[in-house]
Amino acid sequence: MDKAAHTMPPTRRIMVAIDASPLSLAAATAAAAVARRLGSVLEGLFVEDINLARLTDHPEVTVVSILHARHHPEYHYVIGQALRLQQTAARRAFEAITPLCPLPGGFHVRRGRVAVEMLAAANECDLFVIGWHGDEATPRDAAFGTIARALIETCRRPVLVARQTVEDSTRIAVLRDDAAAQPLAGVLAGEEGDLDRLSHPTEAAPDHLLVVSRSVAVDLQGAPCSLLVAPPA
Amino acid sequence: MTSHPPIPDPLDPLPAAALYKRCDPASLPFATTAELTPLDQPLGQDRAVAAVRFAIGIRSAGFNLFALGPEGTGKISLIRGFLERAAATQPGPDDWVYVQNFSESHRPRALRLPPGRAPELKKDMERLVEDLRLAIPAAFEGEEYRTHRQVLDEQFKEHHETAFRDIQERASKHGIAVLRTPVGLALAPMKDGEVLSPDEFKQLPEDHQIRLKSDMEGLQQELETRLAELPLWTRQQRDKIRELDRETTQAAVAHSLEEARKAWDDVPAVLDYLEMVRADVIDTLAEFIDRDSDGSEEKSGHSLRRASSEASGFRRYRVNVLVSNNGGTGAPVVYEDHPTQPNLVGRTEHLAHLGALITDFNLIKPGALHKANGGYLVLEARKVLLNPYAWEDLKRSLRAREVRIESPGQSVGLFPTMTLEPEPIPLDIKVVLIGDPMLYYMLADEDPDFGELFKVAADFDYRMDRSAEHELGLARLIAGLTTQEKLRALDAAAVARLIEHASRLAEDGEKLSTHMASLADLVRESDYWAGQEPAPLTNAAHVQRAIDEHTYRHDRVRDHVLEEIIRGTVLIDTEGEAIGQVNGLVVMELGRFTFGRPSRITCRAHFGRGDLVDIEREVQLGGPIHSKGVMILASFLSARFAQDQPLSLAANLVFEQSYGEVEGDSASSAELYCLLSSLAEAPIRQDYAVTGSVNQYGQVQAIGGVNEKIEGFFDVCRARGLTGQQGVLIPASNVMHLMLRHDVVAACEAGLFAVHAVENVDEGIKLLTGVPAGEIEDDTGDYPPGSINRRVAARLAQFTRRSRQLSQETTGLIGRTGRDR
Repeated sequence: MDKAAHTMPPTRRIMVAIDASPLSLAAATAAAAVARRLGSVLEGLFVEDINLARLTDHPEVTVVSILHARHHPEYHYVIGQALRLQQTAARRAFEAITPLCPLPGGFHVRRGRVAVEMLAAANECDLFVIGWHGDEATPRDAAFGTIARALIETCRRPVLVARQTVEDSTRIAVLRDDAAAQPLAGVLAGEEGDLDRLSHPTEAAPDHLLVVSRSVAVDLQGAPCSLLVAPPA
Repeated sequence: MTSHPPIPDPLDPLPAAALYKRCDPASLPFATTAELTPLDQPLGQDRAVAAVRFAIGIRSAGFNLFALGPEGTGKISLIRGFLERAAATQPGPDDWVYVQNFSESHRPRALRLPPGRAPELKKDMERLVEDLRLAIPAAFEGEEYRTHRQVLDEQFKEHHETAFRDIQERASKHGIAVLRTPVGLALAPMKDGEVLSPDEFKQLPEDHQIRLKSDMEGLQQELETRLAELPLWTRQQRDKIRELDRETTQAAVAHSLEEARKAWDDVPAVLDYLEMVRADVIDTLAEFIDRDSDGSEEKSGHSLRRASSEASGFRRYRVNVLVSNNGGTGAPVVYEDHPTQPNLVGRTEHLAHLGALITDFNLIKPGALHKANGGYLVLEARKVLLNPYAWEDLKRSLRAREVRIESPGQSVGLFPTMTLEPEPIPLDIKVVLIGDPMLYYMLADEDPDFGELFKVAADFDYRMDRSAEHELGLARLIAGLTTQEKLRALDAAAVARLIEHASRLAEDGEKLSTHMASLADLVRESDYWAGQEPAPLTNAAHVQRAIDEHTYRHDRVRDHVLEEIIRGTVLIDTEGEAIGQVNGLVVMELGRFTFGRPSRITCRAHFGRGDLVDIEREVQLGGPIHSKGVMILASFLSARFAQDQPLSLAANLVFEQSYGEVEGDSASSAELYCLLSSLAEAPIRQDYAVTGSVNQYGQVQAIGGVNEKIEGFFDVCRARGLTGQQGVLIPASNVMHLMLRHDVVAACEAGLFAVHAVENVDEGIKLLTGVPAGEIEDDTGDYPPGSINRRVAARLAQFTRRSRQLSQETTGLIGRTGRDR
């Protein structure tokens, strides 16, 4: 694909979702690299899951440990502490990467249902960056996480689903390869990076995103690769 | 060949023919050594040769060989020659390799292979590993494996998701959310996809609250049950994958292994090993397929491991060829020049890796025992004993009949760090130790194992009879040397001179030295001087030149000693007479160079209590043998002159201007002459020097270094001018040892110098004083008037009378003192 065949719309504001998971931290580093390359403002976002927040101090909540396979009456008190620590870790991670950006923006905390809040935030910026999968336990699972799926399917702005740190050269797969996506993909891939055009799956298929993710992971011989999803022009 | 003439009257000097046993070139059956066939067997070592042959022939345990003899007698070359000839007719021993012990990696396995096949196994294993490194990843990247693996993964995922989806769906129907939290799965009341807050929950109707709580309890129990099953599912999934991997690997390796098995179906040990390799490849499959940095297996497909075999675990499939007898030229004969413990029993080397020392069976190196296994190992005993642990480990190996590779000191627990313990290798070897006789006798006395392990002694003689056979043999040895080293051939006269020199080295006109190293050096040096002319052949003059030049290079100290005598710093008279003073002769050894020189011995005798004082002993400069000689003098004196009266004598004997230790009894006859001279007040001729030991009966006995001693006094006399009156008294039993320098012989022949052979002290004293010793006359029972013995007896009687007189005076004094009281 010709990397510079189309004029690229300006990318003034980039937002990266951080929850302190390893892949979200990789996404943050990738977002910083993109912001440096495009001269964009980089902002961070942490969404406090309203459902998890409500578990804290909830007398009727039951928490079963996956490790011990047992109910622990005290565990739900720990959830609040864990969420606060997660938020602090996410903020620190964002602060750690801001020196890499020419125009560091703010770190935002939103509270609500994660997919909804993410989508709302993504629709307000020029490029939204998230990690491929938030589940650290299965980092190599090719499937998208639920949030990524929601964003890919409904976001009106470009979304970069990062599986690696976007450095000087990288590999970018482009979904919905059209005129709008090409210039941005070219910039993301860099001069020496690889740009792959994915075979366009049938969106009507029952789980076309699973197919997409497998395409990225398997058809490209498993090489680390990020996916750029641009809305239809 | 000529023989020594009969010994003449002691008052007559020895004839020139007795001073040097010539070798007539005409008696040698060749003109030059070029005509001779080199001798291919040892000369003059029949006893040692018989021992070596016996040791080679007998294969029983403990019949190892110790070759003892002076250095330079050709022990090593003789033994190696015999061993190599014997080994050439014996079958080549088996090869030995070390391979990985897959169950106990610190104990590498030793495999015995048919001769010469170790390198083949090494190559086969390298090829096998290369094949496997291609075949295994290919099998795992294949469509068949990937499909099976995908099915397993999907089954697991489906099983997992179904189990929890069921709970989730039922929970949802009951208005309960199942949420993943950082600390586990949470069950919480829900409405419209959101968890109800505590206040919202309280606003629900009471029966609804109760129902929700009850449903949550039920779901909680179910969730716990499912979660408890999770590890089991995961394990089952892993087992299925492992089984799939094993089957895939087995299929992949089967072909390659089968080829190797066919190649080695005649060696059961290798077949066993290959079976272990097969099991290990399957067990350690990950070595053949890629891993990510965190070590987990790549699910999306296995790919060829690109790392070098050095960095990976493939080293364990290598074959370390310890010994291989490729040539098949018989049993090995190994001479280990540097027999340290590791060089004998082998060693395990280490590699520095990330600051630590690591090792494996590939770093096992063979020792001389491995290389010589099935054959012969030649070692120098002194070197073995000087190297720590070498002797003990050699003995242990021979006793146990196996070679166990241990680091130095490991056997005594000095280094308790963990290291390899390679499987011991059975030992079938004949060890030949070479050393000097002292070492042999010391080991035989002090080491109880020695006699058990070295039952055969090859005793190399330092000399052989000077027979026609040996003279010709020596000539053939010289011929071999000149051929081998491309030296000039020697003419018969040169060989004759060499034979004479060999007698001189043996210090015996009737013997030849077996110190082949010295004789070979003389041939080389003679060749050098022949080359200086240049001459086509080495002749007798070249040999004489070589001897003279060799002496000149070494005789600086002798020259200095002679110079000090001539200048009068060291007092030695070579003319005139003196009472109680005689020229003794001593030999000095400076490395391999020995020379003689005169030393003045004096004696002062006076009245006393029978003490014969050896001043050298009193100041601890006299050795025990020298002291013994002096004590024998006292015994001789008492026996001859004090049979019925006490010996009321005091005499002091001293080596004048001697500042070093005096050892040996070769001067005891000189000391006795000196003592008799002092007692008889008979002057001794100073133009004579004396050597020889004496016994209690006055017989003069043989001593060593007779040639050097005579030459030492001759040099002093010649430097001052030969008078024709000078000479040396030697024991008659030393005449056969005379091989004097040509200039000494020439002077004697011309009547300018004399060598007298004496049988007993009476002959010697007559020569030295010109006065007969005298024998007891039957009619008087006394010695003849004027004789030495008469004068000595009279002097001693005088001492005795004086002693009695003193005794009476003392007794009287005491008696008078008693009466006064």
